[in-house]
Amino acid sequence: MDKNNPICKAFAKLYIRDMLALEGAEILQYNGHQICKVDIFGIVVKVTEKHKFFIYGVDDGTGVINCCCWKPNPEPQPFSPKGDVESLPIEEFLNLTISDSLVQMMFSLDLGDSIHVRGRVKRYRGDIQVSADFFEKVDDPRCEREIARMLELPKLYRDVYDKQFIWGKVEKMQLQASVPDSLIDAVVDFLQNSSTNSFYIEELGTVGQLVDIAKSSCKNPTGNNIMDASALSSNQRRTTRSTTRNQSVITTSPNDCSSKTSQSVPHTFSNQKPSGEKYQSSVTSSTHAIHKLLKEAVHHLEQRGLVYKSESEKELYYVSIYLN
Amino acid sequence: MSSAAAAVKFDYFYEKQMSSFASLPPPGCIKTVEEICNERVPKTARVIGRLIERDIKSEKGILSSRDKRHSLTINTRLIEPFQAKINCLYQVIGEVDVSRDQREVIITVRTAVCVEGTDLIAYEKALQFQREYLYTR
Repeated sequence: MDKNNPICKAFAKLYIRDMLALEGAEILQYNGHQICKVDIFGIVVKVTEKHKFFIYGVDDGTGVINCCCWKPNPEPQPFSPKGDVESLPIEEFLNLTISDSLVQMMFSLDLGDSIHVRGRVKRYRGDIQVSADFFEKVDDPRCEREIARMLELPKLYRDVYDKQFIWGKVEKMQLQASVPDSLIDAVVDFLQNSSTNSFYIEELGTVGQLVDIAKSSCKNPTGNNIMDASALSSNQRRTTRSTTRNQSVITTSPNDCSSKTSQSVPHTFSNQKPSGEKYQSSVTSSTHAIHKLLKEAVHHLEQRGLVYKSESEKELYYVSIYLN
Repeated sequence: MSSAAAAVKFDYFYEKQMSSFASLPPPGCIKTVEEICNERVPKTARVIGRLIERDIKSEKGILSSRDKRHSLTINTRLIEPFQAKINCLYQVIGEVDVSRDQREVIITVRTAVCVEGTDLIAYEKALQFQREYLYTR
């Protein structure tokens, strides 16, 4: 979630053509803005009914997208089971039948009906699809809503979506004070060259080049020896046990794109995830300092919009496509 | 873009072919009747026109433009039986076929909705406004 950009929290009104062309593997972006939710208005051109949901193909003139619209759960009546209809008093029976038919009316759309959908946009087996949080059949006999939408979208695009999001200057200055630019640039270079899609901060700590820069910038005040690369590699060996979390499997093939795994991490990373295990007592405090510096560098990149923090996992960061 | 990201994109494209959902119909570009008659036609189109004639047996109808100068034929075989109100505005989406001598344009209609009461001038202005933006991209 990109905390600073308000677009990712709003239901973005995009053309369906742009929605289908959203870039990114795990996080979807349009022109640098992270798009999480969308608002669609169009005509239903295809209806697929499944047991628990409908899939409507919605066409707005620029593209067609699948919208997954969930059917309402049949509410269990606690003291009057549905099967026992004969013994219901007349008012409750009427309520049941009327609500069933209302549900039927509200939730079944035919070809040619206008539909308004608001929901989350994500990839499903490679295709972009909308999972509706809200959808309604629109009664638009004089095309008024369609006209309003046609007038609204270009303005929104020109004013909001096509503009770049500018980061606050104050935060920039505060962060730059603590983290040297060379480290930030080195992290950026490393992420670009290794072409990863996602990473953990601890993994950055295994890259020798970054550690060297971090070491040189955090000078130990007592003059003790800062840990050298050999001790660092021994740490790597200690944490080689793979954890039970499925998401930690690192593969080199980019085939499983639907699940949230770290993709295409190069083979130099060992097959592990240091899931918050405390470093061994033999480690000096300098590794903590290095780790802290790397963390701040990544936060700096997050502020600039080049990486995004994952919502599901604590330490996982996704790389924006603008870094590649 | 780096090669791995390009490969991921290619995989998505490949997976799209193998997607379990049957492919969606192509989007209907919004056009006016005049544009369909005069200019180069898209394969799938969305048009608003006035239904002036309709023949159930031959499954055909005629949509006319706002100034009644242009008209185009529609084939309603996919939506029959279709309750048609003559002389009302209809918004149709369908595949456009051009006959060999480039004279006759027929739209095989997939959906038709009666939109009688639509302000066609406002609609065309809004369409123009949207196109001004879309064509600059």
